[in-house]
Amino acid sequence: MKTIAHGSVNSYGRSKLSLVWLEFKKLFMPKRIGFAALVLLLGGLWLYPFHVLYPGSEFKNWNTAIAVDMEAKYGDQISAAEAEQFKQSLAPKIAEADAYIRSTPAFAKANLDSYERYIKRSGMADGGTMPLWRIIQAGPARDLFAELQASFEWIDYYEDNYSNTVGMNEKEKERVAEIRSREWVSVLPTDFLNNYNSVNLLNRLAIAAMLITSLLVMHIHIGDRRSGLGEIQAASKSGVKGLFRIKIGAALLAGTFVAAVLFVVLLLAYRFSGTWSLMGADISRKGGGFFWYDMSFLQYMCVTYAAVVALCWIAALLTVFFSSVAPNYIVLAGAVALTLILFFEGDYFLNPMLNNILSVGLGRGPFQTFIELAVLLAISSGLLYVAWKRESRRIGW
Amino acid sequence: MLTVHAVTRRYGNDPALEGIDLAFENGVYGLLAPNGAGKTTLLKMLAGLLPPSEGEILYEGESIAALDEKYRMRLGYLPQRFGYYPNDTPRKYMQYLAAIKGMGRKEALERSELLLEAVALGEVKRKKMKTFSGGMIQRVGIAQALLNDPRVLILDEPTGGLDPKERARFRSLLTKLGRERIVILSTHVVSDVESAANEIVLLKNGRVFAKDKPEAICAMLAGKVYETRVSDHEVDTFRQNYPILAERGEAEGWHMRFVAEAESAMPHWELMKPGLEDVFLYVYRDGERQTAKQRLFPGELAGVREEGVQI
Repeated sequence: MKTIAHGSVNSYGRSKLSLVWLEFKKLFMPKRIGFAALVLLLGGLWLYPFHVLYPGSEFKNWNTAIAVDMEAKYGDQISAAEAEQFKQSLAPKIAEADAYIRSTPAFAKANLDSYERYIKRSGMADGGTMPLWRIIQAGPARDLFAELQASFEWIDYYEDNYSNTVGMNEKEKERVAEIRSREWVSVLPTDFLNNYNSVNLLNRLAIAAMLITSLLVMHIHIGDRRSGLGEIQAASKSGVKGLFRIKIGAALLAGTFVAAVLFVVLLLAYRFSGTWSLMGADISRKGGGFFWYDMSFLQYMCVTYAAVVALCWIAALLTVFFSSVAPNYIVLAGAVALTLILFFEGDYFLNPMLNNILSVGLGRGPFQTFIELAVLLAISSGLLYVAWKRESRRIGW
Repeated sequence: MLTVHAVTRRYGNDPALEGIDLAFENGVYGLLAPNGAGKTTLLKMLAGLLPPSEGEILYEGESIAALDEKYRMRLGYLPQRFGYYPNDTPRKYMQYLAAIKGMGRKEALERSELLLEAVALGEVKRKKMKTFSGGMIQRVGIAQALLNDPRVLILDEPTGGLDPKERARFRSLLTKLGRERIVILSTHVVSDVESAANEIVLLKNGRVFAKDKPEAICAMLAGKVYETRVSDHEVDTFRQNYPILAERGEAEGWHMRFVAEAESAMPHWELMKPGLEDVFLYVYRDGERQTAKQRLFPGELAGVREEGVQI
């Protein structure tokens, strides 16, 4: 029979990973999740995935809608014959637009009787077509004209009318030449890639992910310290140093988890915006959207989202540091808020760096992002080392 | 065996403990001293939470600093002010602490159930600790210290908040535990250790004042504790002349318990058997410094040396 004085505790079977999991679970208290959700809701950050995608008929993104239609008809690589076929398929719509123009007195007054002449006129600096554009927007032909405009933009991109290599170095020019020499053009619209890239979707997601990570991780040290758990923890097998490492593991796991959840939200947003079929399309195409490697949009998302994961780790590590050294919650909240603001706003070191990290394209060396993230991770780790030494001095040997 | 060898601990330039030599084998050790005498500092060093400024602490002949987690695996510790998350249940709290003590899931569960029953918290193990009284919280603290079936159990003021019934139960638990491990508890409540401790350590001015069996400690005052009745107009002079251990106002005068040399005893004084509390009150009475031992025990006490103790 087991008694208190004759215990059976001889084996020490709990792995470090299970301790990380335990500390990780401690971060996800309902109140904290509620607070993080509130911050997201008030900040409207959760809306970003839906703003920049394909949110229905009211704000229809015609470039994306046309690409989705083309992908359904021709697949994600458009050949010259298919492009020509697409061009031809626009004839009935052009005829419809011609009919609308002829039947609208304002166009006759402006001496316009065809869609082709209207487009030419609107391209002139003093074309005076703005009142006509307003009439189109207010009338039944709004979608028709928007679709035609996007279709011709697509053709312009296909015919490579927009791209140039001014300011590119030799390696970049070589890569552009390689993309232009393909016998096909990716169906993926440049807008679609740009919406994801740079300071739009990816940036907003990074902000949301870093913010949530910091909100969850903030309590990791200060919570235990304020609850007076420190001495019992320090006298346990794990000890101060062991627990410090375990808490770092838990914070990194929290960052990864937050980034993963937001990534799933992002994928769901794409899935339910009707654009999922474009996921397999190559991101590089002549006319724009050049990237160093041949990869599908989904692959590109995975690769670039790794930067968001790394940024969440950086947010997690910095927050662990602040949580360890801050004397109280007010100082902690101030330090975390200031750091995140420097990441999110202004022209100071961190915000330009964040924008650079998330702007993956030909303009930057393929390893530049990696190096910048590594530098930030190294700085965060250095700060943690300082906190670790300090914590070891406070309790322990 | 846990050995404290020539340990000094300073905070800045001020020594909190100086030249401490102690040895602990299986049994219950009561560390008695008033607040601020260095009990907690000594216990923190024994728990590996504070490094000594000088000297070393050895467990089974090896430095506890070098043993690191191997020592902590064998350690149970209840700090003076231990923490918990108020929204946790004792069960969840124990599971968490069992995990950081490195216990496997199954044995953690078994052990925490057993211990919560032992401290009479089995019925409330699923209730949030924020609803608990101070005594209940303290019992959770005692239970957590025992989770890993420690070989060295260190309890800093473990009976704070416990009612008399709980104290009695705790003393009985201590006696059982002390058979197979080193149990060191600090307290300023003499009755906590009087019956349960195998040995008492008295700390004074950062040094070990005495370490011996309770009866030997009590014997320090043998033949020197008296009781008598004193009238109202004599009482102030009496207080100035003798160290008072206890006094009680009565209808006519005062009933005094005090310390005096045998040769100065008056015939109407009643010689009493000294208790541990008498020694405690005498050693730590206001204004008393090192002179207490010098005045009362000019010879060397059994097993007690000025520079620490080796019994």
